[in-house]
Amino acid sequence: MINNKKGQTSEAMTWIVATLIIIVLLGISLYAASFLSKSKVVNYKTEERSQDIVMEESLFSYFLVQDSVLQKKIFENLEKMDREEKFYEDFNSKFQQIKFNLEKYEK
Amino acid sequence: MKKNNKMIIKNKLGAEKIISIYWFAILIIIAGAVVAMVSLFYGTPYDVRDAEANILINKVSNCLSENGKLNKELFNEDKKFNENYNLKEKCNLIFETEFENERGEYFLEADFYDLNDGPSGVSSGVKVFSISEGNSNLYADCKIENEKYNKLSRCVDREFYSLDSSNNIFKIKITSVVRKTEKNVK
Repeated sequence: MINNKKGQTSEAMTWIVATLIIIVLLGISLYAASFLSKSKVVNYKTEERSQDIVMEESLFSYFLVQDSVLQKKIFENLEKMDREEKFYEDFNSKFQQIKFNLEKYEK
Repeated sequence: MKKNNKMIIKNKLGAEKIISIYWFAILIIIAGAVVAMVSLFYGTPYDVRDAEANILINKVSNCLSENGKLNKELFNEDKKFNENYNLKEKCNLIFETEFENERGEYFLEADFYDLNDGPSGVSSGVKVFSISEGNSNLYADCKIENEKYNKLSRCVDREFYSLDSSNNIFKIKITSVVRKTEKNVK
């Protein structure tokens, strides 16, 4: 009978521990779900894109400027903006692309 | 011996009943937790205000300047800025939302800096003209930059260069503010 009682106690303990583990796991999952829900922000800057209209406007005006001093100043400022990661697209590749297209058009 | 066997059978039946109740309780707890997790994740809306503000800036920049040249409608016949330029109308902006907020959920401002006469060169210049549209009260939220206050309006500002018809260069700074907290933040 004593053996039986001991067996019953250990079995009950197993269930209690199992229940606690299940509750803890569920708690962690709930916390993770609430944490993940807070990260549901669509960040325009970090989303991969192939076009930045605002940057392209600046590049077009850069190529249109006649005054070389002013042109140089604009380029320096655009490079500074690029370093500050204010553009959503690769500045150098777009610059080369527009330059190539304009040269091709001029020919 | 027979009595003992009967006791064991009864005991087993009782234990099975208790275990089945336990399993039922565990099942309810797990199901409840799964429902809570799903509602927590899918009940929270995506915050798209940053993207919306950027899209508005793209639209306005495209409307004010085309291929590096400022829109001719921005200027009067005497080549001065047109004070009556209606940003909302000219850029086809729709600020109406499903929320009945009389003051509006959007604010847009475009500041023009003349870089030809500016004392500090290309980087700053002198502000010569400004046009705005929408609820200007939202602009106050832009001064508080803290992720904790995500229920405030989202502000995005960007700048670009453009030329007028006389090849004078201007820096245009566009500020876009979107409130719409009810739709984007829980």
